[in-house]
Amino acid sequence: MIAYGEFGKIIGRINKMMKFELQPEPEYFDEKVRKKGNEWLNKNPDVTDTNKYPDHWKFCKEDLAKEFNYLCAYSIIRIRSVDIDTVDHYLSKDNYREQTYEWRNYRYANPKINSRKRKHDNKILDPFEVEDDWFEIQLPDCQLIWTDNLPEDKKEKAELTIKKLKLNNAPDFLNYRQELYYEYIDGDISLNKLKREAPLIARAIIKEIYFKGLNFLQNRDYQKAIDQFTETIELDQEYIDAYFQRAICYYYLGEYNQAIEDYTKVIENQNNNITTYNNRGVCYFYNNQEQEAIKDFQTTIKFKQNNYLFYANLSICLEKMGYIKQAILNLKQAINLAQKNNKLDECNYFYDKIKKLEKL
Amino acid sequence: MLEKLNLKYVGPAPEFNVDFAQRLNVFTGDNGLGKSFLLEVAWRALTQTWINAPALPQKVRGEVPEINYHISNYDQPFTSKFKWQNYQWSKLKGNQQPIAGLVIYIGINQQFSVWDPARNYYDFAEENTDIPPSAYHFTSEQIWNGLKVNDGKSLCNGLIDDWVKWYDRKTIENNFNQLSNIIKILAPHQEDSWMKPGKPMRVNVNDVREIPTLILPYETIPVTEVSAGMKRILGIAYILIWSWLEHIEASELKNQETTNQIILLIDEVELHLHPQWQRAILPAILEVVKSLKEEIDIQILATTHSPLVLASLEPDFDESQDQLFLLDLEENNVTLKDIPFAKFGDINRWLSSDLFGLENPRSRQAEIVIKAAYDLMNPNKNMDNFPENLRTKEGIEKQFKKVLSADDRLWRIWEDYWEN
Repeated sequence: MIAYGEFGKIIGRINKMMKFELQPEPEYFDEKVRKKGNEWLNKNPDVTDTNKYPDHWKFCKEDLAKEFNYLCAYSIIRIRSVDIDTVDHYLSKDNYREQTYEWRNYRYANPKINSRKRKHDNKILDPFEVEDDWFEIQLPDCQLIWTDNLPEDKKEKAELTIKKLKLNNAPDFLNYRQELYYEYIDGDISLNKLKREAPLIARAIIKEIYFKGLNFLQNRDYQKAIDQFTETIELDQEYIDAYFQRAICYYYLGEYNQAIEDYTKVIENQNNNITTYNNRGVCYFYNNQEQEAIKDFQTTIKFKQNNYLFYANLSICLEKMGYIKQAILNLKQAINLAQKNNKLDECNYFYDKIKKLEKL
Repeated sequence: MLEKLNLKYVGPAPEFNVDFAQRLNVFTGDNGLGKSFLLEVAWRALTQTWINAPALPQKVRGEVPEINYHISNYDQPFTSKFKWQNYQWSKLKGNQQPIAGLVIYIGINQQFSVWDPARNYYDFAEENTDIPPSAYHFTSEQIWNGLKVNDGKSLCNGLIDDWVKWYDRKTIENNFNQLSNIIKILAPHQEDSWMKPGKPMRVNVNDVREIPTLILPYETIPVTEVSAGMKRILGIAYILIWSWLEHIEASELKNQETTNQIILLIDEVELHLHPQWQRAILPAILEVVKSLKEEIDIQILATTHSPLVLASLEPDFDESQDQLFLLDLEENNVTLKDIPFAKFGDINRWLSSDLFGLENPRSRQAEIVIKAAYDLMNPNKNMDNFPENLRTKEGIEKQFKKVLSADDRLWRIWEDYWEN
């Protein structure tokens, strides 16, 4: 009754790979790029051929590459040679003349993408608006697909972006991704190389291992599930969900110390994850660490005051430690909340429990 | 050099603008969108003459069709208007006509035209009763056998006679060496085995002329018998050297400097050429022209359907003086787009680029089957647009056997996908 683990469900973000963080413009930028460029634009108001615009942006190409970890912002594939034409104007020079020499308008991009973007401007998804979990690579075909996390109103834009930039076209990006993936599968390259070269593929490979673990967990094959989650963590130490699921497996195997260790790792990264506090509390309880268990349950109640389970869990701890009055108090609170949610079976169970405690 | 072209009510759209790059301008696009037309109008702007028939404008009530253009070193734009009364384009009179440089047109079917500022410009006509042709136009027959005018005078001896003449005088003149050298640059070769011009010979009892020969690795053959591709290369080599030699000659006669500008208009650069040669032709032409005179500026306007030609430009493409154009159909309007040059690397990627627009460089049938396979795997797509037999795993597999080669990676991907 007391075990409360939510398994088989992915929660939260996995890790940062596609989302890019804005970096402040380099110190020299204003003088070497913006001022020089705008001065030229002011002097030459009649020049419409954007090829003739002086390429002052070349000064910041190296910093731009760093901002994007040397990954093309659109295809998320590493670009080897940093060059002038890897500086992409997200809003085109033709339609947004005044944005030509602005740091915030630059994206690091494969020159091919650059030539395909033309004047589509903000009809194409801006790499900076893309959230980490909107897109993923599907294995084994390596197509870039959007996930259920992509907001409905961005779908049209996403479709156009993939189509116009040819992100799923066989001769270049798709082929290259497949090559890399199968080289990895055949043992010719390491996952680390894949992480550098095409992090989304690495992410997909790790996710696949993680999902195998989830399957084992759902079939209650805990040891095999633990092996998969451990492999996931070895490949990506920041894969927090794998710690969470592995902890559930340890719990079912009665290995509370290890479960507590994994839950603690989750809490370190997601300190408002109530489920994790609750689960860890449960493990502490069975591991005879009632003090710690109480602390965790108190935390869950602090975060979420209207869940009867947390009060019930707290009361069992108090009972075990001999604080019968407080235990009964918490059970009453649990009944209150359970009634509101029409959980009648639970209410009856708690009533019986109170009766038993009152006899002590 | 031609800097700008602005067309009103003539050509594929009501108004059309081209900003030319200084050196290379490469035009791609589907058939029938007006690539060749653009070259003909460029020729008209540069020479005041037409290669074939004058371009017929669109008939729009109340509008005057115009060809406007900028030529480098001239501040003002030039204009030619179409006069409906006499069905002609207006011409610039006398020295109002600009001089852009030596203009050479290389057409399909071995058709060539040359406009020489030292020979075809008006002032030469004024001082002579002999009015020279407004330009030299060669058919495929004339480029080989000579261009003669009605009164028996020869404007050009043709490739066969000149070649033999140059061969005979090769110890006292440099022309034959220059020709050999140009052929060597134009025709790709490995080490020593290239098409070397050989000793002329008689080939026909009914033709008293000696015919130039080419020494090929396997045999020596008269130039009249070589393949269409070699003929095209020889034609280009000859027209370049002939135009230049005659230009020097005429400039000396007129006691003036030779021009510093050559403008080449080339329709379908890759025509008749083997892929090996397509991959070399444009950079080679650039090299040849530079070998004619130091410090010469060359502008090329070329059309192509060949990804090999574009791939061949990758090493030397310079965005500050070269430009790629795409003629495209957008909602029934022909538009001209500047395409930023990107290095695609291999030919397949060029084929699938916007310039050629092939989704997948395979047969059309294979393209559809493969697209169906990928869309079936892709959760973001639905299969409504595919024919019934391509909407299922089994249906697609049946087609795979017809269109995929045995070692295609898609077999493995497909198997792995359905295993999961």
